Amino acid sequence: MNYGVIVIGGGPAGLKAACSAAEKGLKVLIIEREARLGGILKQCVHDGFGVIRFGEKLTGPEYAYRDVSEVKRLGIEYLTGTFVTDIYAKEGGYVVETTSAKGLRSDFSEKIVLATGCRERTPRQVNIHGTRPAGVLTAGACQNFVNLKGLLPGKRVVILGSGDIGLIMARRLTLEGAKVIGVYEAKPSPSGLQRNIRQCLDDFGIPLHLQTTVTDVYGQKRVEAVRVSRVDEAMNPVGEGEIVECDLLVVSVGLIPENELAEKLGLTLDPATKGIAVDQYMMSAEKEGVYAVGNALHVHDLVDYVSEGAALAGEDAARDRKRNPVKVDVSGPAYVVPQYIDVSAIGEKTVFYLRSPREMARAKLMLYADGELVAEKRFRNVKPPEMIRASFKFTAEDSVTLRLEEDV
Amino acid sequence: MNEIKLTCIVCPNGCELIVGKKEDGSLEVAGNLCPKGVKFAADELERPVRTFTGTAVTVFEDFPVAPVKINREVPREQIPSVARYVNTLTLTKRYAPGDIVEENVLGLGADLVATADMRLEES
Repeated sequence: MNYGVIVIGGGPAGLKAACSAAEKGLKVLIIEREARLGGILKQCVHDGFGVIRFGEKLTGPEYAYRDVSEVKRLGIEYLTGTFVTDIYAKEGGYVVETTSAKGLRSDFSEKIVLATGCRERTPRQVNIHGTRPAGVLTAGACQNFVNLKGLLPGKRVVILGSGDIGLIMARRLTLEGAKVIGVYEAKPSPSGLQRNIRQCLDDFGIPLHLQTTVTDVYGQKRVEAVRVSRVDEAMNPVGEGEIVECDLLVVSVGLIPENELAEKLGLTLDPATKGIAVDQYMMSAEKEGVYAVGNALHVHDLVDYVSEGAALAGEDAARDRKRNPVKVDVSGPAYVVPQYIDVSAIGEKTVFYLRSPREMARAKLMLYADGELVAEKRFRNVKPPEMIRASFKFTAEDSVTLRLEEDV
Repeated sequence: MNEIKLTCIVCPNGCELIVGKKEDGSLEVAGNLCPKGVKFAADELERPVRTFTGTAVTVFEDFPVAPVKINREVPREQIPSVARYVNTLTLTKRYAPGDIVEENVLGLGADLVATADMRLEES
């Protein structure tokens, strides 16, 4: 079949992009690998989603339900239980080949939205040594077991990494009757939000050990214990460490955008975001008609901003523009999305999403267009785990610069 | 004046609150971006409240557990009892988000509400 846009991934990013494109009159197809739409929100049963977009605190499934209802109301076509096996450019668009229980299928679309989400960094990727027993899980896998399958994967739990999913699972496992012995973080400051440390750890008396990591896993069939050690500034373990008995090690050490399909299309990844480089409408700077949204583009900490970016992509897919993407010259931030600005199509507002490389009590963000300072924004309590969103109204002709500095 | 530091958990802003207790007992809150921070600080010092989210077992093979929440905050110390109680339930109906699963859980004044769409897809 032929479509105006094919959206790959039926999580919050894909759903919103699909709805925005359909509202602009495009014929849309959503392809989802799992049995139900909603993406990872299905297993995020805790609340805190939607405060910015809807002005209320929703759980993950409730947030997803709003977008899924909209997809149905708009009559958008979607395939579930369907896996993309190949994607390639063909004159005027892209061919997407899929497989499902119904068989093989090939569809053509002028535009593609990659909304494939992200994957978790695994224990092997953070150099934990020892045997490979059962009972070592990423936080998201643990969340899937508990919240979707109703299984409790362990009773004495050690959590490595202070990412938000790990913190949320510390509370969840505790309320399901497990004993969470502690959360261990190699860095000197937590990587999750402070409010999650308060409500998920402090409320339940779960200790957080900073500058401490898991160095070894013990046990043949099942995890029996782990060794935890203090680390120095260079993150190298110091001393003998200590043995902690447990039957589950949950690893919450970060997320990496999933970009296998982008790579198949020959797109290069931004080493800082691990996603493709896009303009302010989330369209690839390298390949016309390919968009990336949500955590496939860069890892967000709030789904509200995932939806915001995805809406821009969906709307943009419905129009043709003559592009003149200019690379944003960046100094200060750890990363900035979009990496390019299409200076021939700057709209009413341009939104930048960025992260600070370090904590700053006061920070100043400066935007230069064609070498001239056009806007300045100030932020308080800037931290690497908390994404900064800055929206500007400006125009430029041949250069855009973004500078983040300590504000003294 | 005593100063207490709190992290507001009302929304993802997570404001770092500095709460001062004046001699007449009234509170002075700083660091909050909105008025909700003042109410949070007052509750947190007097009688902390929390919400509960979790899952309940169902009889459906395609939905072995269904996500639920309580629709009103309850005293923080009641959360473990709510969790234990929810684990005794078995859901036999396919709920839509917002459907009340049980009214007035444990007499705490909050209802248990389904948060996912468990209904089967029409095909």
